[in-house]
Amino acid sequence: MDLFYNTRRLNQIFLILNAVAIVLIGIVLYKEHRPEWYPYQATYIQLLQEFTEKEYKRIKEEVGKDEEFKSLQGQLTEVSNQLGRNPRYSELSRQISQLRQEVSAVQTKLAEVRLDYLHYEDQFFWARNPTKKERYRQQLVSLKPEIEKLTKELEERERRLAEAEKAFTELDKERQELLKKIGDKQFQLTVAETAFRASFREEPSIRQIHKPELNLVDRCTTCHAGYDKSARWKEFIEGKIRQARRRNASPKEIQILQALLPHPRTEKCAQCGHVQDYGVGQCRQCGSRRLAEDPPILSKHPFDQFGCTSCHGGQGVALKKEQAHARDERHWLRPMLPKDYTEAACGHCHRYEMVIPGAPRLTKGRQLFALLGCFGCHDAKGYEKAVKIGPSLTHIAAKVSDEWLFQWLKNPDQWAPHSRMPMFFLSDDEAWALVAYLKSVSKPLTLPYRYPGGNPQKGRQLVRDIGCLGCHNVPGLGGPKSRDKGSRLLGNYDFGPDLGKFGSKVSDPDWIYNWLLDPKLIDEMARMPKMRLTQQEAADITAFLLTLKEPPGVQKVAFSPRPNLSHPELINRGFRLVANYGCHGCHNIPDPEAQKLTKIGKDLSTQADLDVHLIDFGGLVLEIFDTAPTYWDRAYRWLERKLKEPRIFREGLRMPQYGLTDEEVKALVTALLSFTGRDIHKDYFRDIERDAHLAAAVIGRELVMGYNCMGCHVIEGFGGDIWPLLKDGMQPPDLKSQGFRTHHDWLFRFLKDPTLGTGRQHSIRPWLQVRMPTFGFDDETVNSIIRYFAALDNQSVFKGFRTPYRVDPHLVQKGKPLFDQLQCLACHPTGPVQPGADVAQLAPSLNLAWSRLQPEWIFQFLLNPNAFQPGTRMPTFFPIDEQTGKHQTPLPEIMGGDVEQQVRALREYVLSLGAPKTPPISNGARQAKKP
Amino acid sequence: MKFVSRLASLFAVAFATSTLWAQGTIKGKVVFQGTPLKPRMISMKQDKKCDALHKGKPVTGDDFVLNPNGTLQWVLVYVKSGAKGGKAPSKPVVLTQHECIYRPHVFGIMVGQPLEIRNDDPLLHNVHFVSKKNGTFNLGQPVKGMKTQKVFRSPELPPSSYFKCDVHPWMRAYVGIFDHPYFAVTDSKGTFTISGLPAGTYEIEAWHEKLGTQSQKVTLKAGETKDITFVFKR
Repeated sequence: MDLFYNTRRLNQIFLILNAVAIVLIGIVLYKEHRPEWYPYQATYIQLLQEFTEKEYKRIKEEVGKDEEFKSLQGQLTEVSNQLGRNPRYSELSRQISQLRQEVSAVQTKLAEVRLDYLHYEDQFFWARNPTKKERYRQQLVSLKPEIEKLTKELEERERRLAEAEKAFTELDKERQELLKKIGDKQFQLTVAETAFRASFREEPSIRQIHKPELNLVDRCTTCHAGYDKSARWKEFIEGKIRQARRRNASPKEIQILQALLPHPRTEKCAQCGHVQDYGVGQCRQCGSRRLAEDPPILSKHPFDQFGCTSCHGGQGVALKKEQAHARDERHWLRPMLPKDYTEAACGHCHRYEMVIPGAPRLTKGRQLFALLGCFGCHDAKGYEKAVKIGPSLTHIAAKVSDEWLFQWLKNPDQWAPHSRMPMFFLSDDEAWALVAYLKSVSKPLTLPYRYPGGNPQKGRQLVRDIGCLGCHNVPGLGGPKSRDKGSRLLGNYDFGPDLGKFGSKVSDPDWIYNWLLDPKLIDEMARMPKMRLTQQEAADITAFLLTLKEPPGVQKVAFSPRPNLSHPELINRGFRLVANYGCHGCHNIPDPEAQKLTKIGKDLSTQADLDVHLIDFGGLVLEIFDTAPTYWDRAYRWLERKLKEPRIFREGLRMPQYGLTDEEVKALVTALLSFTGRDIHKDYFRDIERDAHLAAAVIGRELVMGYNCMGCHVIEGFGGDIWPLLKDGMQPPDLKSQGFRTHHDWLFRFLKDPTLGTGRQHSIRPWLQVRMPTFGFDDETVNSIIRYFAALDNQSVFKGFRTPYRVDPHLVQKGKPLFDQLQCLACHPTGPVQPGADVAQLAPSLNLAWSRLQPEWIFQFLLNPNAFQPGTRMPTFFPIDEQTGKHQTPLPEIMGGDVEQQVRALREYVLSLGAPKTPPISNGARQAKKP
Repeated sequence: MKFVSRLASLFAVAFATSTLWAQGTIKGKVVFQGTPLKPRMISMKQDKKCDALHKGKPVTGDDFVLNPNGTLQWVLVYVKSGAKGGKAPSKPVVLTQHECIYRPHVFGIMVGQPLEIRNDDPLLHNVHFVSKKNGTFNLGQPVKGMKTQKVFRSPELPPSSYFKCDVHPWMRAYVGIFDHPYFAVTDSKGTFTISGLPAGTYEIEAWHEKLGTQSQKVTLKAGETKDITFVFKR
């Protein structure tokens, strides 16, 4: 107790406590003053000042050193001096200003007199008193010559003014152009100077992007402060990072510098195709200034409208790195996506699109999702109407033997290594049970034609030439796999079965013969089209296919003894297996009981929102928890494992194994992480309900992929699998700009019947050997495909009916000399092809143009062929001049060298070649006015 | 200190002058040994106008031209490594379409140097340039005497850069694009000359359309003229 009465002692204690308190307050204040983001901002501002100064000096020096700039300035002074000495120049400018005054004076006077005239006219009209009326009439009569005189005077003055002005501009032209050229440089300099000055007003502070309607407050830019800077900033920061590394700076310092790098962004040169970092202002390869962002991600999704987290995920308001990235935050349900799966977020708004430029992995994933038939077992929004990917099993017993079926079910990869049929790990008993069941429900088949025997050599040639190889691989001839995997839609997988061992799979020649003649004879839903084979051709191909046998001595799946396949218990077990493994998801099974089965898998529509604590890790819980670096990585690891080895987690899982490569797994995980159920603001969501173009594209794309049009054609930059197997110039066309190229009614007729009723195999290029098959589409399917192509080219989806195009005979006459001089007939035949001609050099007959091609497409195509059909042989006759950016003509003496007029006339002549000779419209009807 | 800097500047001046004087030259020829390839005979029946220009006779192709003295024409010889720089001349290289044949068949050009493409024939040609690094273009030249100028921006070697004509499939011309002026094409005597080279060691390469490439290392002293021979065997 003495202590409390000992003042001296107490003072000492208070002193110490005070000291502690002051230190603590100091620490708190310091910490408050230097939060985690502070050094980022401080470094940013310091570097910004350094950078803008450097830029300013660079441009100043460039301008100073620039001989051109200097000489321009010299020229300008000289030209101005010359003009100053030129008496005509000063005389003209004096004249112009005087004439302008005079014109405006006459205009005012004329306006006054006209007002008077109107006034008297009004009075005259309403006057009842005849004397008054007469007076007004006289007034009007006296005013009339006055008006005429003034009008003439005005016209005369205006004419003189125009003349003077024209002469003046002519004189002044040089000076104006010089001023314009100098202006660009001057402008650059001013901008750099302003930025330099502004950098001194910056202070370290919290920065944010705020979009209330999206509920978005993104403070990411506080640390990632250089996010919107250009390529020069990037190089500057990269240089700083290198410097820091060289002097062994602390990891923290390097981390800060790395955070200041701009958002990755590239641009492409329109002239030479060079790709470089965004924002240099000039192509570094060819110096052109025609640059555009490529892929156009940020120009379509500007920072101030989308912020950061709407694409990358993470906790926008947080100001500490761990919390903001949220990769280890179990309570923040949208963590920042890992680098491998960033593209998944594109799919949140682009929910229904399959091809998303700038997101190649997501595109690949969604294509795989559709083509591997994942929707057969799993519900997923947008795939409700997708067609089963496997062949119908209606007449399976007539097609293959029991032993083959057993072998196939046991291990599809062993028969065909790249087939899309996955492996189900069936036991022998299970496989036999399935065989028994499928055999029991298979419907008997009556084949209308009998195989007459054929020539396998001729068959082989036909298989090689008519286009079978667009979908099927044939050993020794090649097939889709000869195309490099990157541009193939299906990557490593087969679309149609590999025909390598076909003769050992289907041994009934009648079946093959009938199938080839018309697949619909056997399967109503067959995806294989009719190739319009004659009976002889079909017989030859059958003979060839029968020669493709499995080589003897191949290791087969071990056979267990074949049980009694008609035993009802075995059949029943087979049905239960079908229901369990979901065979009906991909195949049509002709059993009323099987038709009632529903999808066996989980609904994947909201897969992206799955929380880690809801995942069943099974036996791998420890492994995944130990290896995943963060909380949310556990979900990604689980997805990857599930796709790679679907049944590894526990017993009783049913998903089969697809043998996916690592890249395919990543693509599919990206696609799965893009399926979100979150509400997305309607202005940002690409909604299929509100966007007819999008809907048309989505529906059509499914069809085009489902029928493997990309096996032969390049569509949206994918496919053309058969191209490397055919001679240059003899390939099916690239369908870029198809929706804009042909008339919709023509395309309808063509898709319904590619011969267009001509009786020839080919209606456009009769010399082709590869055939456009007859798919036997119904009207709705054809229309969907037409709408799809129209949507791709931003054409109105339903163009409506059209009046047949009526050529203008006057223009046709003008187009004739152009057509002759440009020698279009050197490649485009109009009559029958001469024997012995090298047909690969030929182009479609122009007689078809009138009925087939859209006039506007022809116009654009003539101006720039390669843009509408990549790689075409059609040369540019009207190339763009690099200096002026305008089209040039090779025939400047015709029609005054006006390119547009020339192209119009040429088009008119081309259209006239196939147009009916009598006007297509009766005399009573008039053609609609052209806009 | 002053002395050292003086010395240094002296050396610098000496070095600069020596490089000015010391421009070496590499001369030589390209010899062929073995069984020659059969010359390709071009029939121009497909385009009657072309055929008429040659009076209906078939024309020998330029892809393998063996000179009477056993040397090869149309071989592009260039410094592959060790040389750089030089300003592109403003005088254009001319590529002519003459009697339905590209002339010259093989040529070199510098980055930034203009290329003038002419049509000497009274008929349609299309100049279809294909390359990996310099983009592509496809120009129609329907009128006799038409000229178009083009400039290339990145170095590239044949056969990846070439010209074709889609109207006349036999027409081909190969172009080597360089960022230095040290290249030549062998003439009808099979000889070539690369001059103006500073002293140093260079890798010289020769490319022939059908026979591929050959290369050798050459060390050139100041002011020296070296004679080298390339041998293509078959």
